[in-house]
Amino acid sequence: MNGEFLRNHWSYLVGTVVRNTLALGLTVLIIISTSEDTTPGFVWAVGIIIFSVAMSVLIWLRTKYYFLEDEIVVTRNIVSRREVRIQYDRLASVNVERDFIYRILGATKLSFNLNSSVNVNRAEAFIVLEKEDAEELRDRVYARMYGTSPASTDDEPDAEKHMAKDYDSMESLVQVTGMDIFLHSFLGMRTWQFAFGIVMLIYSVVSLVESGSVNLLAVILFAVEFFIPALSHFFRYYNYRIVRDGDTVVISSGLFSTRQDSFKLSKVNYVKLEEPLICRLMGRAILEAEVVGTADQKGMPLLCPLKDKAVCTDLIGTLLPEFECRGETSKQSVSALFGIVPYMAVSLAVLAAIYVLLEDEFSGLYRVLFDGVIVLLAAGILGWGHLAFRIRTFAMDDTIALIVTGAFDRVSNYVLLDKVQFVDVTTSPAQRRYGTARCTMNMLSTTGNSKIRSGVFDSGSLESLSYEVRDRIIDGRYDFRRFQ
Amino acid sequence: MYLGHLLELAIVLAFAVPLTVFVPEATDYLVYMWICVAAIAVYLLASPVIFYNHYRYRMDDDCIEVRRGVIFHSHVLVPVERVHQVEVSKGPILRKYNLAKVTVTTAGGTAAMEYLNDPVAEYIAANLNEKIIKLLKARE
Repeated sequence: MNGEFLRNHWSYLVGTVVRNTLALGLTVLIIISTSEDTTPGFVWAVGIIIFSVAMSVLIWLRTKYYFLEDEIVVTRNIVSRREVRIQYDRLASVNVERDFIYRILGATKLSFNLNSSVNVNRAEAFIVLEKEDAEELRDRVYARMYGTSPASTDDEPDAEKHMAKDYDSMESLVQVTGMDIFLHSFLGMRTWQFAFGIVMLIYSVVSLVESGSVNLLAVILFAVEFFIPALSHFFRYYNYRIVRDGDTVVISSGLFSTRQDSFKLSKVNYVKLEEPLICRLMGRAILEAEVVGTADQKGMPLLCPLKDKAVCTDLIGTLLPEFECRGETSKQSVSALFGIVPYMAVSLAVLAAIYVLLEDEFSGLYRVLFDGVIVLLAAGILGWGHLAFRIRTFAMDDTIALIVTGAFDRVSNYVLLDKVQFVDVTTSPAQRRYGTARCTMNMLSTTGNSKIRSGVFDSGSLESLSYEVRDRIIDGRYDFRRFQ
Repeated sequence: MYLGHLLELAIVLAFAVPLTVFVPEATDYLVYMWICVAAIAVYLLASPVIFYNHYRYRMDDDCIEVRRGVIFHSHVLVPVERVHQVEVSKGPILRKYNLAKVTVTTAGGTAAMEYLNDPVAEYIAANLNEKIIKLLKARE
């Protein structure tokens, strides 16, 4: 391909070389530390690192980006030739990331994501540029995506700078403080994860008191399951801001590494209002949006971190009014108990067996902790049964289905019927007797595909969900152009 | 389906029989195991009839509808507009009896029509592909 092209900023090469050298160096160091003659290992290590650096330079030199009138073309010509073409109107989002190395070296990584189920967890293409160049390019790509004329031209440098800074100067739709993010990170996790972390912490303290030394496994489990995920959330969402620019939502956050996600509102497949048990007791909720092409390994875009539930529902009203469901809410049928009660019975039986088998194994503070955990689990099972029956509801109007799932962690899924791929309605023998069923809505999601499973409701209502999805296509109420 | 289930039963027996022969002292566990094997055998032998009686599929211009299941009944309705890909597959047992399985893939998962006569499966796949192409052309 001929014409003007861009290449990744040199900081990309530095970052790759540093990361590869560290990883390879550490591996080789471990290997040679176990052998007596270190010379061959050292030669190997140097050889591999030189090869890795050479490959990184080659990849850097041979990867070219062409930003054409209608599409982005990425070519890589090393051993084999690779060419990726991305049309602007197929782009779901452009994400801006600045990790530690890029921040030091004044660079920014732009990721281009398609609205597709392939490569959902990683961008189809990315480019690293100097910060100002990246912001200019992002604006140009936005202009192409949304079919407007580019806001910046070569003879308007001031306009470019203004546009690049525009999102920072816009008022956030939700005012989020550092304390909100702290609560979001430490209390916004799933209830079982929170309870497990707390039990491990207590166990560590008990082991310290009883035997004078901390139980290492308990500390590791506390760190891995509770503390590190919470801390990583805190760093990720610190300085959280969400702004709206026409049909585009821009979310930025980050303490050390900053990230900016932007997507068109029409690309939102469904909205999730999450209320883990502790948050629900505090009257708080978390709002997330399922937008294909914007997720990374850490989850969906966050529309609102842990805040008062009213703030979240107001945000749905102002940002995504089409996701408000006005249909009548149905509660679960009594036949739901045929699924819930056996689960509870089996779980309680297993718990009782564990108690009988292990009760003589503990003494002192350990025994108190063991009894406490057993009581907590028994209460948890009973509470789960109660909540799993009471919480799950279903509502539907012409355009939206609201399916509330979960037990301790209540999740309200606001699903646009036009984004449902298909619906599977299943019935068990007991449910058939009562004319009830469960349904699974199959959606395109950030993780390839996702399934939203309802509770037990009147089978006619759930079947009508299937027929409504189909009928909207047949009678033209579903217009694919709205979502492009 | 019977043949497939007999094969599955043979695999279960291939584990259960040697266990009974080589570990005869675990009498209690063996009794529980054989109760499970008997339950699996009853299910595998009885389920094809129930499956066949309940199994229905239907396809028109707008959607594909499949009703299936033995204990849990499932009703899937896939709008043709959502179909991305159609696949016809035949395993060795299906090939022997000139049968095939049509799997339709959407962006949110797959749905399948099983145990179809080969020509019927080919017809359904060709028909669906034609409809999808027509839909895509209409969009352009």
